[in-house]
Amino acid sequence: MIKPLPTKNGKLPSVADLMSGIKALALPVSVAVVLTTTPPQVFGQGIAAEQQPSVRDNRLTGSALAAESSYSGEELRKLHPTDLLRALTLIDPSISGTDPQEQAGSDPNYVPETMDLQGAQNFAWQLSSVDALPLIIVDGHSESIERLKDFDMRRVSRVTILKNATATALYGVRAGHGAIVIETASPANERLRLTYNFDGASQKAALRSFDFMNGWRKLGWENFVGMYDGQDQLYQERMKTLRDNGSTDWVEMPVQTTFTHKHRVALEGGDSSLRYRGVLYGQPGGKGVMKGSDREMYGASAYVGYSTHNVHISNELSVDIVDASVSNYGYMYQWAQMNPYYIPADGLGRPYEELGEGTFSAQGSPLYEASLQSFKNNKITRVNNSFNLSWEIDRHFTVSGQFNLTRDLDKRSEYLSPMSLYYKDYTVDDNDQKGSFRIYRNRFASYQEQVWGSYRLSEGRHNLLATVGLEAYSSTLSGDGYTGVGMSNDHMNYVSFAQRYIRDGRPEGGEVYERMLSAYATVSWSLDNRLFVDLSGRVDKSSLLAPDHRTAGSYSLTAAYDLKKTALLENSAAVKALTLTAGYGTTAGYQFDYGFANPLYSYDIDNPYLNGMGSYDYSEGLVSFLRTNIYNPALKWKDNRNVNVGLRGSVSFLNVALQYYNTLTKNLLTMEPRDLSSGFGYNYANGGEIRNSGLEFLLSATLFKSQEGLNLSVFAKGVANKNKITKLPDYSAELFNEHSFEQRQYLGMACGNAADGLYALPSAGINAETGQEEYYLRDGSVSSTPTAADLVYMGSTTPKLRGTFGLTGAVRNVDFGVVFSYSLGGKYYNYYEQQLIDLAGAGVNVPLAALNKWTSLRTNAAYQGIEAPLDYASSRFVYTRNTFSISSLRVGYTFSERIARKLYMRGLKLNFTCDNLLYSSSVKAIHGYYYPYATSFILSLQATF
Amino acid sequence: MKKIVYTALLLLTMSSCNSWFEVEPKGDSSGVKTFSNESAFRDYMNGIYTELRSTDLYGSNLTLGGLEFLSQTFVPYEEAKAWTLCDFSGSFARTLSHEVYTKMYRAIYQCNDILELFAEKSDVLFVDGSREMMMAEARALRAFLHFELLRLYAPAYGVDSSAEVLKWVESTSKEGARMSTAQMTEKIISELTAAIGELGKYDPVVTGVGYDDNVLLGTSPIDRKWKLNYYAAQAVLARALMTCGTTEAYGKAYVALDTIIQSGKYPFVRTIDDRDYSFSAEYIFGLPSDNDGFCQVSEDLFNPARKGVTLALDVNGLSADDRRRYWFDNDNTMRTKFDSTSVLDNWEIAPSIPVVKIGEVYLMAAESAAKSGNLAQGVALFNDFIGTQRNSADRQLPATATAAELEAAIGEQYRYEFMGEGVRFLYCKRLNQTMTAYDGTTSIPSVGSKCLPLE
Repeated sequence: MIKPLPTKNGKLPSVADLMSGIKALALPVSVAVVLTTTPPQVFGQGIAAEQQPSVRDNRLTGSALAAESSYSGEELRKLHPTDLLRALTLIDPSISGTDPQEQAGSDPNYVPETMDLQGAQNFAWQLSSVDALPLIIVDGHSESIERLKDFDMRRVSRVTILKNATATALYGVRAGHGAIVIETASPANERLRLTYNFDGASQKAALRSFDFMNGWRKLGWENFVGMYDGQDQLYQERMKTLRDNGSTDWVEMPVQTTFTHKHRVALEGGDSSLRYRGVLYGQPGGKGVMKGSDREMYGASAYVGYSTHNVHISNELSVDIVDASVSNYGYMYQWAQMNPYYIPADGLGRPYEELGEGTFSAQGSPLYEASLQSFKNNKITRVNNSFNLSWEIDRHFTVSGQFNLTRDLDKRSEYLSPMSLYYKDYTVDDNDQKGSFRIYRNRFASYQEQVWGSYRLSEGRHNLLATVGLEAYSSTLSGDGYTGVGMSNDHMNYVSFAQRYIRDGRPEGGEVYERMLSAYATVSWSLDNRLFVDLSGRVDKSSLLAPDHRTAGSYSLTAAYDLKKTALLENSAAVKALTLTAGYGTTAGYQFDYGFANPLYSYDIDNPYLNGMGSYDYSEGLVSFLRTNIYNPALKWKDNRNVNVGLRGSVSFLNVALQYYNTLTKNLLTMEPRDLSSGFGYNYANGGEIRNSGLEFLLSATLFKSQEGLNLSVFAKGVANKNKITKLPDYSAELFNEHSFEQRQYLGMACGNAADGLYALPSAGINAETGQEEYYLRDGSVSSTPTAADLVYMGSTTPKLRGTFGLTGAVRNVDFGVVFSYSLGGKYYNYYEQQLIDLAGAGVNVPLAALNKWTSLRTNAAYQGIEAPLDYASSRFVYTRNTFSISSLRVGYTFSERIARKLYMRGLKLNFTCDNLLYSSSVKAIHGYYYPYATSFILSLQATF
Repeated sequence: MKKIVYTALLLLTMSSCNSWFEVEPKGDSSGVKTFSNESAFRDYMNGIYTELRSTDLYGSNLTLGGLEFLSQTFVPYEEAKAWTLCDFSGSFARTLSHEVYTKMYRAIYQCNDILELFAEKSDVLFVDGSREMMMAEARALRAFLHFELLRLYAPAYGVDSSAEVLKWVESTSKEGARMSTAQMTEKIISELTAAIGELGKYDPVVTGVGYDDNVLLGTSPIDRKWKLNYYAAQAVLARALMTCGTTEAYGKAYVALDTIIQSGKYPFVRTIDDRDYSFSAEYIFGLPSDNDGFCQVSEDLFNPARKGVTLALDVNGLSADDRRRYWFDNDNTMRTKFDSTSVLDNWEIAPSIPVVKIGEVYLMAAESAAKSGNLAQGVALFNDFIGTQRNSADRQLPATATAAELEAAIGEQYRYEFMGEGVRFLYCKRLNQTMTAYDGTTSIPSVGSKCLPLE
């Protein structure tokens, strides 16, 4: 199903153009530049040191980065002009796991809870979420994933994705799951420049995968499975309704085609001593394709920088406001499950509350629910201030400092109307509990400071750069909330209308802290600009590490060798560049929450030791305070030990980058049995290991380039990752598999299998007599009462190969690009097929495939019957999946200077981007179970004055 | 360069002490920093007892719902039959045994935890004497729990004192040491003796002055009934000493028990006030039940519509005027003793779970007096118990009664005195007796070697 692009044999391309396309593994800041006497280019993105206003992140140095992927803001904006996260997942195939179930679709409010950069490095049980996401660094300080989600794409100058421990070592224990490092653009060194950006987008929901039955078919099927036996009247009534009104398409009701627009104005300028920039941006309507979902954003920032000949100072303050609303239309699958023979509303357009009341197929109407005043929204305010200071003491020494304050506030309000169907079983006595308004506030505050000094030396063939730094980080996340109930009508949609607190409810609240102090050092040495060696180390002491092991160390050694400079290749015409890189490093990483390593106590409020009510001489009550957790104060961090070897260069017209990596994640958190006399049957330990190894590649070639400005390049990139649990105590595996089986999940853990493996019971088919599924047990017998021990490993969900390919080109003022994504050979558990077909009864609407459900008349069936189906994870739903999609399609037009002048502009550019134009999969599955996927068409305009 | 040094110094001073890193989350739970005042320690002590009164332990398994069946006083329901006949291979026995073993060691863990916290948080201010009292109490409780485990899981001392079944655990982090029954008994006796020495000085039940103030409750002399107090510890010490079986040990046990009797603080209930059917005045140490917990177990057991357990012994074995008759009901059950309508005097709470009662003290004192060479004193004590305290002059022994007659009479009282409290089985086990099962025919020999199953 994947059609390879026709390749043309064009003229030989020039080297300079090779990397202008979309790059994966190659780092344009070649190691060659890093260690010359002039300051490394990474520092200022091309601005020479004397003019450079500030040093943002001192840690992006050295050959360690040669193995990492780095992308310019321009490249990313070509993939998606407004959504940085989306652009990153398109540009780098090694990013995965952001929505593993593919159910959040294009929800504008969805923030990934997990993200893997180089294969699964955690066990399936997810005991903690501290290492679910990579560290996000913006200009040297860390930011939250929520901030990344709303990141102003136009600020991005460069994004580097640090996957290997060789590069993350300098970021230490917080970067144990990789790091995404963003550098923002510095103000232009011009007198005054005004830039206006406009991004207008139209989104349309892709509902192709929701092929449910229409009214006639559904009714026919219900009749076939015998739901109308003896109820002919009901059947005739429904038939009549269908004849009169036709079939209702519920799936179309909650979705809308949206138009959203985003504006940004930036005023910037400066000279060699003073730089300034002011930015205002806004997205007044960020509607999603599901009605009612919305994410509006407004922001402003101010930058001032001052430089003398040896001191640079800058400060940037930014404020963002986000106003998010969650759709009150519920989840997509609820609409899909509505029976199509029901009419949703009466003649006056008022939705019916309940449909088919009293029949086998009674359903509450989501349209009724959506017609109420219920809502959920989140109002977010974010403030960030960064102060940078750098002092060049002499030509060897530089001292710099960075101080950052961040404060994020959000307030969630959730109103559930008293008219909601949720309350339909409440009695008159419960009237004062109907309707609820919940308020929850979070406050995140962090302070980060970094001070570092660097020493630079150039002597003959040798170049040396050494940096020593200290970093302190302190953050507090606190939240509190309460729920009020008792609204008497739908319109009382504010908390002050509540009559009381929720029954059995209490105010909620919590606070967590992180405090870290670190020291790091790095030494880069180069010989003849041919051999480059970097040695880095870092020590972190953190409040999130266990009390007995509070200090974690990370280090790395990397080297790069420019093969082009060897005698063999120096004069080669075919080989234009060739660099070999290799590195070894180990990075420590967080992996457990506070309670795994520290004792926790709590009051057992509902169970006081003595609840006396006697005369005053005697106690009125003795409360009990208890130890509530099992902990191990000697737990260690996880250790990522990484080896990587890479080769990149250009041979003839072909540009190649290849990289092999092998990461062993050691000391992973596990559980081990313990003598019961210790008080608990188990304890936490560092008994697990996972190995990830893989190959990443990028091939690109300029097929055609003519004098008239016509050129065409193609590229393909991909990653093949293999992961394996190499150490895991049986006790942990059994414990989790037992739990997983109880919960009817398709997950499991076993030594030797992939960490992201699927586990299911081997199906023996549907029993022709009962309509229930049967399974092959371990002992070979067939049964419908399996146990956890009968779960079988079905393979890894990681695709054998995953990546993108596409082409880019330009003709005169027009440039264009198209990117296709593919993934091959990953195992997929079709949860939706199981939930919506196999386990579905006759009372809800079902996909067409449900015709293949068992009935006494159709005994050779693919799905279980409607009576008491078994809900175990079954091999029937395990598929090997290949997917293909047209992820991004773009055409750009740059107006000639002459035309721009006429419009009083210095430059004018137009871009048209299509996101997620087509998705196809070898497995028929619901795509966007909760929220539909959308195809977006985005028109972007950039005018410079 | 100076700047670096200064900033580095600034950072280092900020964090030179580890406390900067010791930040505890707030929320439903809190960390060890909570133990910065006395009430946290008191509440933690309460917490340990709260776990003890759960149905896994004294709230059912170790009393009415489990161990009591082994006393052969009730006709068991179907699932409990094998268990009642001391066949511990079934799932009833295994589940119960596992729950008891796990929870008892967890309670021991908590005792060790609080003892370590007492040691660690030496700067916390307490009401004078309160800290010493709680530490001694936690130590005594730890010894008591080990002794309970020993009685249940190891063969009786007199049958095999060298069996190494259990571990003595006295740290939250270190593994416990496996000990023989003799070693462990010795350890228990010495720990209890030490704790009693401290409790004698600081326990309000002895001094008569509580540690309560405006914000702290639960240490007035009368409230000590709900904790392992000085007198309860003496009784437990006597229990432990009596397992040794030597004349000397019986002598020491008698001394301990005599302290309790002489204190005069625990009167027998001789008139019933129409409410307090579980005789709370007789408790030396009890665990208050949660609002309806223990009554629920009782109701569940005796309600004919539920488990329908009936009595296996004849109520008429008691004298007509014996107040213990009030426990029983016409339908041959014992619903009244722990019924929710039976409310404790003074506290107005539902019947609590007896752990040590004055009755056992008298019976043990009579036995140890006789076995330490003072048979006449033993007979006198028994006669005081049955004749005076239990209004049954007709059951008194003649002053010339033999040791065997006394033992038989005491054994008979063990059947009635502790109905529903799980005491008699352990008495029979200590003496390695042969029990006649509830059905009146089956014989259960060598009770001394009946041990709860470990796995």
